Amino acid sequence: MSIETPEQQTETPKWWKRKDVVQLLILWVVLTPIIGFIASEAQVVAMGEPGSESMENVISLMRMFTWAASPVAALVAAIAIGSLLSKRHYGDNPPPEAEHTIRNAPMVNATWIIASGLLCLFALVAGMIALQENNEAILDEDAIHINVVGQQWAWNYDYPGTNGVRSDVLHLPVGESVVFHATSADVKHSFWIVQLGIKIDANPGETTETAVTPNKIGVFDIRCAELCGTLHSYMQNKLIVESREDYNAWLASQPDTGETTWEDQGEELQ
Amino acid sequence: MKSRFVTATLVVVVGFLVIGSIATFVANSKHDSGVTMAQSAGTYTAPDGKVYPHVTLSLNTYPNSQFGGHHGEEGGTHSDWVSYGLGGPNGEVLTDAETGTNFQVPAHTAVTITIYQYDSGETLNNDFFAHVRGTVDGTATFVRRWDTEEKVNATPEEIITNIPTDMVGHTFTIHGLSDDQDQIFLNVPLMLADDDEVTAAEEEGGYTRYPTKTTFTFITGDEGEYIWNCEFPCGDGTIARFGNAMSAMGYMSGHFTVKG
Repeated sequence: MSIETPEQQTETPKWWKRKDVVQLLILWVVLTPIIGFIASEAQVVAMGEPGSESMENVISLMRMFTWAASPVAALVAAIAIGSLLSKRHYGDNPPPEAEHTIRNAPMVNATWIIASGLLCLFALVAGMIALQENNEAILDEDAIHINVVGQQWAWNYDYPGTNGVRSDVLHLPVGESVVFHATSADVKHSFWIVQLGIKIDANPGETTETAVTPNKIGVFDIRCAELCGTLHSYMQNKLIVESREDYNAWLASQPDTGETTWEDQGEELQ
Repeated sequence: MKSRFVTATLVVVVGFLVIGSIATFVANSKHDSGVTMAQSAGTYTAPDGKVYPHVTLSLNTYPNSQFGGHHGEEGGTHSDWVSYGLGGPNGEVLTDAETGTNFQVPAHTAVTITIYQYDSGETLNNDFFAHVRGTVDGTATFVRRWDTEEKVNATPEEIITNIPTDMVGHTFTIHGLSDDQDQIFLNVPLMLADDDEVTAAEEEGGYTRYPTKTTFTFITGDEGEYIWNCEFPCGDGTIARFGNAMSAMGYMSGHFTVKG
């Protein structure tokens, strides 16, 4: 039978058994799924129903990243809430535990850096896999090519195989790969089809490319994602994804202007 | 504890005052030119036989703001900026017009707009905007020289679908938006007035006697709020020439409201 010394009898409990730490852990466990669910679903709602596999991948990725980040966010929130509720002190005489020095903790630093690095690597690889759909579309020899011109503060589109069909509203057939060749007539813009999950800079004097395969018939949003001047927020229009028959009928109904930006671009693409 | 409460309250009050002051300053700095209501003009029979209520608007484009109008006496702060302005039915310069670049028209109505172009021009940076788009039949009626003194066409009237890209003075372009309201996209290029006549008239402190005249009609849908602007870069001396008058509501852009 061992006899406890007075020092052992007054020994403070292990840190993980402390009341405030237990409260923190409980709060962390409770907050993690709440933050994960609300944050991931809110941004999915904000992004709208996906109109392409690329966007479906982007949404899955955003869900995955958000859930991966939610424990960190929940821990910060739990510490903040716990500190605000139970560690507040009024008056001129703070308690002794308020006096502490900042210690160097190499293991903690190393753990944090390695964990952050792994998370970034995971995000990079997962993102590249998600965007692979776009690369498949851009390599499709049967893809439709469309020239996109941004200008303060409107987009316009030029269709191949026509004698100058150009439009302010973008029309595309469903289920077919489309390659966009984007440029700008003035300053930097960014061509963004929100629900299709593609966004590409449109720069003056340069042509940038991106591609996508819309997989759903419907009307989607096109916006400029680069702050480009006073009416930037109005630089938006619609994408109409329709059946091939409807697309052909729409093309046939458009007046031929005889002017196109397509021929030059097309020659460059051969 | 009481002093903390007072301090916190003061911080909130001062914060609101600062934000309110900034908002008031910005609101006062905005050049709001009021709203022009389109004039009723009976009915309009579209090419497909449908009959619509008909309204009209008459606008002018000027090489500067010295005509006054909604900019105030002698053109206001930026009298050298190009500007749209409300015009008379025969292109008259309305020096005392209180409204200028914000327009309101009824829903499901034929809107006929006549624009007298008193300014010269150059080459468009995007030939997309050299084409008439969104009007009835995709056309506009054009007069190369309108005699403002005799109030007659000095050259024959033409039906146009586009104009040469190197002869564009300004455009009148209403933007469709990516929202649930009815979409409008309207673009009408305005041919430049004779450069020598514009310059000579400006030197005499006036405007050319022979502006170009462009008339077009389009049909409105349901109620909605839109933005229009000129797509010809005419903000000289700025990046991409889209600064100054091009980036200030009340000069080469404004609101277009479909209501009622």
